[in-house]
Amino acid sequence: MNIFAKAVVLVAGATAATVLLGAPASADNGDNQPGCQNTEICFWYDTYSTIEKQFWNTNWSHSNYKFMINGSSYVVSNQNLHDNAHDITNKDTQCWVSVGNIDQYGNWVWQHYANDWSRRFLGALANKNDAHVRDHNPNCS
Amino acid sequence: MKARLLTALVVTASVTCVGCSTGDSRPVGGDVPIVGEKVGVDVFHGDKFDLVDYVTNKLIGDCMAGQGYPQLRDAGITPGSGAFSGLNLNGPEFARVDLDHAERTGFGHDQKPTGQRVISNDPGFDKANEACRAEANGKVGGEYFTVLGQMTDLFNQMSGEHQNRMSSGDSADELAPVLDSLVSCLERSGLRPVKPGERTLAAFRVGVPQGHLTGPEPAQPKRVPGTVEVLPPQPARKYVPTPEESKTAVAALNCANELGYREKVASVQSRELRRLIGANETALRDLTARIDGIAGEAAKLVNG
Repeated sequence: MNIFAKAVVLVAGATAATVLLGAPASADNGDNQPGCQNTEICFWYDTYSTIEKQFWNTNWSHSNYKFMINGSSYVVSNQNLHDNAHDITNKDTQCWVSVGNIDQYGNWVWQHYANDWSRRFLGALANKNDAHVRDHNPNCS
Repeated sequence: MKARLLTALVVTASVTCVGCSTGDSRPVGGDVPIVGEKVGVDVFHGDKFDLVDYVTNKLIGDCMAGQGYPQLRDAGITPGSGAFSGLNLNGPEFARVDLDHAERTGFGHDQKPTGQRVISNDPGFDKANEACRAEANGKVGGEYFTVLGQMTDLFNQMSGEHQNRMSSGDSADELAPVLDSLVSCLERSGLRPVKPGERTLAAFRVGVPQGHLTGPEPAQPKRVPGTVEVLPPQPARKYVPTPEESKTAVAALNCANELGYREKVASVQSRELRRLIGANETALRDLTARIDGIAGEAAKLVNG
């Protein structure tokens, strides 16, 4: 889905957004505040900064999560995180992050992101994100 | 304490940085042998990135401690491994495990224990960290973070291109009947696709974790402004698959073994990776030479 199409879908669904469940009961939602803070792993819905999903930890299944809307607070949108992310920011203080997608043969396809705090395009994994893993260090998992 | 840290660095350097000071003699670009589990090291010189990352993290930790912020150093800075290993290709993961693993873990992953985690809510920490990061980069020659960013971009572009090549052209043609045979075998095993008639692994939820991790959730930071928090280590957590996931994982593994599926996929992966490395040889030669030089500087720092 292109960026324009994503924006239209988002506006159309905004009314219903706040009544949807954002994540499973034991959800990882970062600091649950707008913006991408020190230590968080943040996925962005498009090239803007209004739609975001934050994590503290590794997550092997993005399918249970919704993107959040950044505003004066951080509320659930109607957009799935799974196969729907455009950018990532890795603000983990100690770990790199790998973003993964399972291809049609069952292989994990990985892209790596050092903890350089830069916002980076997911490239070939844009809209193909199944999971992310904190890695590259024994302290990370 | 410092002596202990230096000893650890020397040991790491001697293990992972053979030839750093005299230049690296391993083949690069199109001359690299494709060994599934060693692509990260052989093609991208991931071991050199591991070393430099460790050395710069040590330098940053010591620098921060000198600025009154010992948290990173005290949390323990340990050598990393596996930089740029995401193209270590050896066939699909679900087809590489044994039956016990497939039954117990399905398509999920246990979570390994993690160390202490440092979280800054202190602008002073952040400012010092930025300065220490620049200082560490300068000590290893000044372009480590530039080269890391460029290799990250190249790796990710190659990973995406590899996937494109696997899913199109002669690779897709070659693997289509292999995939179809696997799907037929899954059906013979009694599995049914989520959408009737769909003949993909995704439709049978092969590779998809559906279970949950057991054990305590990780500690949540308190985020008190002006403080630096250190979260305690997180113990290991076991993954428990759903019964359906476990059954699917066992069936998929049995079918893959029966058909030689992993080997067939891995063979095409290797061929496409070889082509891709050839197409990116100039950039790989440039970046691996630069990280080799930086690793040499890092090794000199360690060796004094």
